Amino acid sequence: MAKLELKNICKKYESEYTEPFLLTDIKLTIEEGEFLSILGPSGCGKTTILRIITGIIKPDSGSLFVENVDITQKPIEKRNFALVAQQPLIFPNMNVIDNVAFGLKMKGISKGERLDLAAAMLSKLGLKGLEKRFSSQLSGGEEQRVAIARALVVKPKVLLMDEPFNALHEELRINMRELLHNIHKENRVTTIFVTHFKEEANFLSDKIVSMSKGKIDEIKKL
Amino acid sequence: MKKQGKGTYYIIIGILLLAFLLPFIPLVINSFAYNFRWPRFIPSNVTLRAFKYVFYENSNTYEAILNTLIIAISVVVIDVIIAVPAAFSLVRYEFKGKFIIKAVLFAPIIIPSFTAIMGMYVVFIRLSLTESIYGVILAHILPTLPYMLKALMVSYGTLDIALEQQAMVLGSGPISRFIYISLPHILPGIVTGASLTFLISISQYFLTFLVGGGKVITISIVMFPFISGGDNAIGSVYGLLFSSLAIINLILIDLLLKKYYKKRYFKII
Repeated sequence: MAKLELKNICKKYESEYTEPFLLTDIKLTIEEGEFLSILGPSGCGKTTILRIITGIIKPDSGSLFVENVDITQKPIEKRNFALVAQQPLIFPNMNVIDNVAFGLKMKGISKGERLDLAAAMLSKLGLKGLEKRFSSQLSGGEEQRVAIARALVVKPKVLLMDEPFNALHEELRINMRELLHNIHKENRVTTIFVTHFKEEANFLSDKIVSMSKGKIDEIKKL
Repeated sequence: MKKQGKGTYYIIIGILLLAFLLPFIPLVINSFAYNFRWPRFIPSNVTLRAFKYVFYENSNTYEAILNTLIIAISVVVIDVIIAVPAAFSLVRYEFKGKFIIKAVLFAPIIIPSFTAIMGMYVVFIRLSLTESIYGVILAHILPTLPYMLKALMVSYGTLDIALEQQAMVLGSGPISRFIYISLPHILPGIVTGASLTFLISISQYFLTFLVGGGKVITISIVMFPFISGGDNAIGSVYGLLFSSLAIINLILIDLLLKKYYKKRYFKII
């Protein structure tokens, strides 16, 4: 849980498959405990912003501040963020509980403690009883909930979600939306949520950022 | 329909088994035969003479088995150490001269490795690697590495980068990422590459003979004089010994892979 600031982030993207893409002068502040949604059509750069925040992509210029500390050059694994992507990305060689405990293991938390924490998080997300399953034995909604549990259990400074419910069907998406809303009310983890569904953003967010063509059009407080 | 399908299945299996076992029949007969020469169609007597020679009288046999295993296992280990980072870089990164590096690494499949060894031999002499087991191990890397590399490149090709990025975001550094995410994924590739490497290494005759100078005794080296015009019975016993090494290797690999896929409920794509 922390305040996150993006200062004048620019990124030029050239790929042999698509048109060159430009992310220009992104300025954004996310207050502590806030739920911010980035809304925009596909290709507007919202995922790129998210990937810049995680550190998977390095910005060409501009900087990133967490609690007023510059983290632009900090390695990905030391940022203490968490990411829930469109694909659940459950590690296929580990069962559910080991997946959820993975982040804690990387932080050097003892086995007993991390399994307790993981089990508690799983039951919070209604996944009790699935601890020993593997990803191939889970439904799409269950997989995505495991991914959310895995992200939340590390108590990330910022939780980043990249269209996490897109692969799910309508009904399930609404359920997941409500689940996420309740979890956020309870934990108040600073969250950035990327989506192209307006109603999803409206339902969940404290603040909505609308983007198009690599620029921020407006920031709306709800 | 179903019954018929099963029938064809057994017929095909039967043909395959026959094709596989046929060469072993004369091998087995030969190894027990006494006075089995043209124009005889069956040996005049059954004897254990050849087995006695191979396992009691010729003290080279055990040294040969040991050397063959030491060489093959060392080659497997070195190949894995070289091929894991090489396969990773070749799959993940685009760089100048990638094609040339790939061509050089895979060349031994097309170009016989002794052409390269002929040149390396001079260097081996200077480093006094000839007539030593270390030289033989080095020489065996040449024909085996492409197979290990290919197996690992296929494995790395199917490893989703996003999975590794997810681990990174969760705080996993390069070493733990390799141990917990990449290694489990490429393990079947390593096992496959290892079995190929093992088989190719134990069947090397020329490279072993040239670099080892007849001082490094492996099964191929002791077997060769007997099968090329020497005592057929003894040659057959060595042949059986050689095949059993290969078959044990294949069975072990098969068991390992089966255990692996049973343990981890992998999605079959």
